[in-house]
Amino acid sequence: MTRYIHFPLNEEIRSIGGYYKVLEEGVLDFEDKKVLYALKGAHVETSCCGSGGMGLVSVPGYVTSWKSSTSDDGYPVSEVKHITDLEARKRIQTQLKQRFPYIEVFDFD
Amino acid sequence: MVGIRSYGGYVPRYRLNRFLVFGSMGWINPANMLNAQGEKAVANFDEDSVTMAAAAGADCMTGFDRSEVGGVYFASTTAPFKERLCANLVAGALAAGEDIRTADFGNGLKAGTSALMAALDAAAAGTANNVVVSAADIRLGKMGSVQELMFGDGAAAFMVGDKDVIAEFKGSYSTGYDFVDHLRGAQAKYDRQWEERWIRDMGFDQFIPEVVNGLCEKYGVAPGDFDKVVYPCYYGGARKAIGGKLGLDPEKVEDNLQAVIGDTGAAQPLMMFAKALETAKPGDKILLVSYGSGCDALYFEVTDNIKKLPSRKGVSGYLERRAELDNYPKYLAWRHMVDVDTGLRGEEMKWARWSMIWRSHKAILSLEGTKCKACGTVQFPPQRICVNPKCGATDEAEPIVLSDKGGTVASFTSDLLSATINPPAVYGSVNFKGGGRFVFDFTDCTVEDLAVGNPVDFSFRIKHYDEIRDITSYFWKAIPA
Amino acid sequence: MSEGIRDKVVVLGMGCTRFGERWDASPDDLAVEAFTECIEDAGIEKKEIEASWLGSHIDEINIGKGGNFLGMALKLPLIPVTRTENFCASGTEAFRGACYGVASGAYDIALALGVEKLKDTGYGGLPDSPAFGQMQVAIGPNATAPGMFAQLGTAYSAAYNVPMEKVKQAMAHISWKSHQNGAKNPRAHLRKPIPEEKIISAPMIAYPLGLFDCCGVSDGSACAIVTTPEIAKKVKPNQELVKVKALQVSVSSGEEALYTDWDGAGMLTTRRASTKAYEEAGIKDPRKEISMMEVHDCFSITELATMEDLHISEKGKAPDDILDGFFDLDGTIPCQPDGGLKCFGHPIGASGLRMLYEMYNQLLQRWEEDRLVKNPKFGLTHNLGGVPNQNVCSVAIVGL
Repeated sequence: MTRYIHFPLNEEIRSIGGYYKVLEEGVLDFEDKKVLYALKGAHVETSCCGSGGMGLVSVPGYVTSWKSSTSDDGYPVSEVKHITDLEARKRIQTQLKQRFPYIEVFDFD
Repeated sequence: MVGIRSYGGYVPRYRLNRFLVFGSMGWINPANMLNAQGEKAVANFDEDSVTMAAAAGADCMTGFDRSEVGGVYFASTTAPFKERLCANLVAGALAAGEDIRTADFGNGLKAGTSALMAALDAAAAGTANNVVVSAADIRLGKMGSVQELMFGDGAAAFMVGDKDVIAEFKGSYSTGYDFVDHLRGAQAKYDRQWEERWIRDMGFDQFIPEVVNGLCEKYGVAPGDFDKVVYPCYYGGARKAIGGKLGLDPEKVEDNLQAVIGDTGAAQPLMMFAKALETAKPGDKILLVSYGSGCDALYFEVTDNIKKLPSRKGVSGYLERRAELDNYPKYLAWRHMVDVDTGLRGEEMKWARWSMIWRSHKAILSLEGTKCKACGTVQFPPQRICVNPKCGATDEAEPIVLSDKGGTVASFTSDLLSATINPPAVYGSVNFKGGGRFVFDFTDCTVEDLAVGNPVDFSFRIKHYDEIRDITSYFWKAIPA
Repeated sequence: MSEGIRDKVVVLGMGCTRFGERWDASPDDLAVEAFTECIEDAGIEKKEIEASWLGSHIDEINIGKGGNFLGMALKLPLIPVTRTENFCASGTEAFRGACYGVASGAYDIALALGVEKLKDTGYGGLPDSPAFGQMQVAIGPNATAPGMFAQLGTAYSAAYNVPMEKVKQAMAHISWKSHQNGAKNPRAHLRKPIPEEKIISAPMIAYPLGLFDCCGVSDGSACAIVTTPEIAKKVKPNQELVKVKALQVSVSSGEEALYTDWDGAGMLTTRRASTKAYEEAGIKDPRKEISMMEVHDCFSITELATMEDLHISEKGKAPDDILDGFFDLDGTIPCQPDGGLKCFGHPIGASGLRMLYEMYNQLLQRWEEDRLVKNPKFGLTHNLGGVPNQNVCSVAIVGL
């Protein structure tokens, strides 16, 4: 089981090379399970040898408990189960792609 | 006996659903709804007529020794250069040697059959044998035009020789007319066409029957004698009408692949011919007709040798290798039909430095590396001093062509920061079969298609396109096998 | 039999600018800033410097070619200036030149200065210059550094059968540690601690590297003045002397890029340079004897692999050491006590000297309590330039 901390949406999380924001979080009904996904935008400004921007959907896993605890900083925490089945990933990606047709990168890892 | 010794085909992996195009552009030209059926094959962002001709040529060479090749003819109306012989690029990609005949044929949709006839005539005359003829086209129609929906990209290639032919060349008949239905001026990027009824009724419907009848009269055969008949014609009704006029059994008329590829210009009749040969039996008579500024008609008879031809991908094999391009603007960007922003980094210039390219042209065009005579280690790019730390021999290397060796993925990544018109850039280390390692760009795949240890083939592709100077540079990339 | 450089050269003084996006500063400003601190620290006059070496990587938009920049910026009195360029090792190469100048007896006092000014390209990151020549442009992949280093992660996971999840956790800990350390450092480019969860959930840039696994590029300069032990004792009779123990460089032979033996899970150059450096410094067991390190963490995976390449962690065991806190500021061998490339910043030509600046000041116990490494004896610095399969590595050891 992996902990997923629900950081506030639209907050700039900054490193030296750039920053990212979680723009949207949601739960997808998939077969008999609930899949947590997050739409993120990143701007890479000054990373060693590269710059650019990207949007992606990350898929932390199947929801096993929803906002059942709180992190040290006081943010709600859910528990998710990592999705390892490659066929399931493909089917989830197809569903998410319909919702986010402009997204090229779906990150399950 | 002169004729076809081998054939090959190529269809790019990406297919664009015509309705997707119509969905974006139907507003300007609603009548296009009728043309928005099926899908068209579109060249990847790093493909053009030269790379597709090279791919079809390589398919054609399957099972043949490249040292046999006596010439390379390239046919296209979309050659990337007006001055620079593209046949030399194709010959380089085939590692066909340099003491051979090379020529480009272009400027008309008959260019493919004209090149084929030139090769057949040379073989008959004994002046050049085993000439590889490769035709490819990647024509553009304006956004919202009927041509945009009509045209597709692809290539076909044949090796023409005077022995062991799979299809004997029995003869030809040609016409040449300054009949203009489609045209492009020397500076024009997009096709322009006169009205459809003109093309259909005064073009196809008149010139194709004329050339077929001319050939039949010349060689004492009837159209109905042919087992397979190849002729291009975009318009379904007109295609049928021509067949009816000639008294052809519709079963014997080859499909024009409009629903799955589109009109591939100079390559169109040759792709249909290559596909016809896939299922041809000894004794089959085949009629090949091209159309555009007149017609060429060629008459072949299939021999027993066709049973011995090593298997190849062919047009059908490449048709099966398919991925949907579900993004119409991406197609526009790939074809440089719209200006897209790849960032300031993307504006850094990639000069083609000709003296350097000439010095290394065999490495660049033929993926030619070196093999150490002392320890047998293969290395790319060519090395003067052997890279094997246990060897280190100096100037003991002999050249080795690696383009047809294949390899396996040693490591890979997908990179969202590289400046490219097709992000993310996917690249990684590839170990050549038989030794040697190099970091290649991967193409025709996404990162999901790759795993360490997976087999790859090498494909001749556009490496850079210098838009300011209109110069295309080429090199090899790896594609999942 | 060569005897190496151990204890023949002393660092007399050092200086380092604040690193960052120094829109305010020209390369001259940066060099003057670092040099002013350095010469004050050294306690000598400019005219006593007899020769100098200048490390800088990208000349095109920066300082131009040759050594003129330094002579003119610092108004050096017509003494030699030699520019060194060896990718990310350029700064350490300048230091090596100065040390060898003194050790050979050619000069009594020599200067090494590294500087990089990148913020004039109009885009982030390093300029897209043909770092490996035009032939590489013609046939090389359309690659960026993150993409090339990312492959180290996949290869490492495969070679040692360490699950990617654990590799990523270790990488996140590396970034977390650099942020923790950098936050305490007033001269660091980025001064902000960040929770590991935010690091691990950052978007992927080049699988498996996320946004927070990549260092940035910065403007900055760092500088050293070196001399003989005899002169140093006279100039600073009451101060412990920081001596140069080892200086080693190793450069790829093509074996990694073109031959098929290399597993891609670590750098052959770092393994060789560190072995030679321990030999030169007389260090038998680096895991026990090295007190602290500043290594080339261009990407957190580089730091991970480097812990093994430096023979500190056993092969396949770096993630365990990292997650155990072995390299944390309060761990056994603190690594990147100043925040590293990731948070202190990475002006290419200055980075090697910046690392030495941190080791030097730690050895002299000059820092505030909250970022002080207690009683260090040997400090190691490491630079890696280029990409994993084709690189330049330098390892330096300084100590008391």
